[in-house]
Amino acid sequence: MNELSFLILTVLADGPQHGYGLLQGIAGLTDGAVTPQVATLYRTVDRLAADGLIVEHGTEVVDGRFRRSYRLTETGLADLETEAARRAATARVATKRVKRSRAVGFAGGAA
Amino acid sequence: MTDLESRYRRLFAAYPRTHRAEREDEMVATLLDVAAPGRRRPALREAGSIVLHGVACRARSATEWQLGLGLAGLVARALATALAVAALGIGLLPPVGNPIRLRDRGVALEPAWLDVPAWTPVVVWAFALAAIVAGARSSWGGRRLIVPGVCAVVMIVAGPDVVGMRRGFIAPFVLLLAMSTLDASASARKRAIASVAGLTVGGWLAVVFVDRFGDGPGRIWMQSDRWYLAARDLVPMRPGDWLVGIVLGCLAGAVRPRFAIATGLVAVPLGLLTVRSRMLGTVEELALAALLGGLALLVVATSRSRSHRAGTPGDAVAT
Repeated sequence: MNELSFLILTVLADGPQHGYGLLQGIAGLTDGAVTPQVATLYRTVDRLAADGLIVEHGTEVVDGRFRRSYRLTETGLADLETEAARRAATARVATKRVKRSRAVGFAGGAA
Repeated sequence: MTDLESRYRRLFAAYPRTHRAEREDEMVATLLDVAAPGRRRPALREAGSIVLHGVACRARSATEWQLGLGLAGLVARALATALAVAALGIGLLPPVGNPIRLRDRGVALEPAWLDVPAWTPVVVWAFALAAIVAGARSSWGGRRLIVPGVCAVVMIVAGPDVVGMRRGFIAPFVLLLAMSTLDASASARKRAIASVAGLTVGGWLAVVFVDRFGDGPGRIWMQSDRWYLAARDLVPMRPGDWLVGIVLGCLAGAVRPRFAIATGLVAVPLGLLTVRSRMLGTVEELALAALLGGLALLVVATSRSRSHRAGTPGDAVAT
């Protein structure tokens, strides 16, 4: 699962969102480090929908602008859980290695 | 509608019509939400992203392209097989009675021609024919390409002229065969593309090798300016024929857009080859070739704009 898919699923784990809401959620999650182009966002949304990880939640027109919101499916939630666990495990290993590397000095950091 | 919105909507022409019907309003709304207040034109990066994703979305839209590509593949295989049969027949004729050899002897008799053993054309073309027939029966797209591709390389190396059809014939041959793999599955297509790339590079390296280090007929032939002249002779149609073909393609496109896609796919590369082969021709010839190329592109564009009329809104989301 790529970074953007992971972020979209994470945002949706908090509740249904439309496109702009997803962008805001992603920016908030990453402190503005990830700001996908709108076309890229929707390409990923399409792919997640095709894979059955998200579905359309509803549509509305706000201030003359058409919005469609999306929500997680059970499969999406399970995939997000698996991916989050995997990333957390990787992060734990990385953190441990950083600490060890600092402890022995950078010369011993090859391990 | 603001200037910015209408500009965004114009960019969405890059997307297939079904996708536009389904997603354009939603995506434009999000783009407008994101846009800084007072902005009147899409940012360059945003515009590029929209166009790029739109084109990629078209390419992924299998329902739009599948039949057209399948048809192009069918035409390509039929044409390649017919040419191989014809060439085999010509190759079987004794040199004295061989019409192409007699014709060419009338133009310019090359000693190199006499150096090619009489059995070479028969063997090479029998191999090519068998490969094409076997490839056409294969369900794996890559195999369909590899064997004829090997034949092409063999023909390049074999000599200056195998059956009176000179080297320039190989390019359209390989192109057409490559096209025939485009209706295969995605994985087979990747293998096929990798194969054709490898074979093309290999073939041209072989040509360079013969040119630089060979001392046989191939070198004599390559040192002349006959590359372009030969290619001109070997593109089997004349401009008038191309025009008829393009008009027929337009008419077919009016009935079924996919037919026009198929016509365009065959016409554009061969049209480009015509342009190349006429590099030594007159300005009028070049202008005519450019006109025909433009018409071919028009055929594709026409089919593109019509191709989603019968589509269902849900298709694009599932791609």
